[in-house]
Amino acid sequence: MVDYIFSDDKLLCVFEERLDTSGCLEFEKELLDKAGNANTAVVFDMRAVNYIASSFLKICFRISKEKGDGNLSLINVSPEIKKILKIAGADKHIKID
Amino acid sequence: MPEETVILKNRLSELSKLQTFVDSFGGKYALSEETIRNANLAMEEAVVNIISYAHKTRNEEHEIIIRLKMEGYELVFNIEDDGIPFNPLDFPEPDPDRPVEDKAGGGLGIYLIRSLAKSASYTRKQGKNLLSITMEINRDG
Repeated sequence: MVDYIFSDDKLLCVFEERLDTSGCLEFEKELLDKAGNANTAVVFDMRAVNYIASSFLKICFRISKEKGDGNLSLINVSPEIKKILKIAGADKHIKID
Repeated sequence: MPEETVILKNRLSELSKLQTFVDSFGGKYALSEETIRNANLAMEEAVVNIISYAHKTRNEEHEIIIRLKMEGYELVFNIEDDGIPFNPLDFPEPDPDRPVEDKAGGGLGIYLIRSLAKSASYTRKQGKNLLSITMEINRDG
């Protein structure tokens, strides 16, 4: 459900299209563990994502809190998903491209 | 006005049934992708709240009844459950400027519902929670 690509300067997490409550429950623990153990910035590749629920936002906020502002970024985010992230105020803590 | 109903059990596994219901309604009445996505999100958040908070234990099986109707340029969801009195709209108004520490906790789902909906109301009647959510239909997308 999530592909993890480790490199010297970042942990890249590539998601599938739908990040709803049930889906997030399946990968939440693994993702939090991998992000927490990485001594690098964490990058979420949102290229395929067309739906997010509050459970995904909570994961973003937890990782952002743990890694510190600026150490989590979301890339390849569609305008629709950006809208939801902005409503939740995620753009104030997380780099979104 | 077209109206359809779906009955879910208070299980997260039922969320896929909810998605199918909303997608099917949206397809039937040619609603835009944005309208369907926002409706799915608001409904998912509302139902997850009920599943999470409306009953003393998650082992009890209960029904959540969702009636969806279209009124002009609006979608109206009426959600009924027999859980303990719980008004999700009692949560504080959305505040996107809260620090990240607060956002990682609860209340985000309601936050999204209030932001996406045109209006929402709650009543307690005959031992049931009745949550009504009205959303505007986006005709552009």
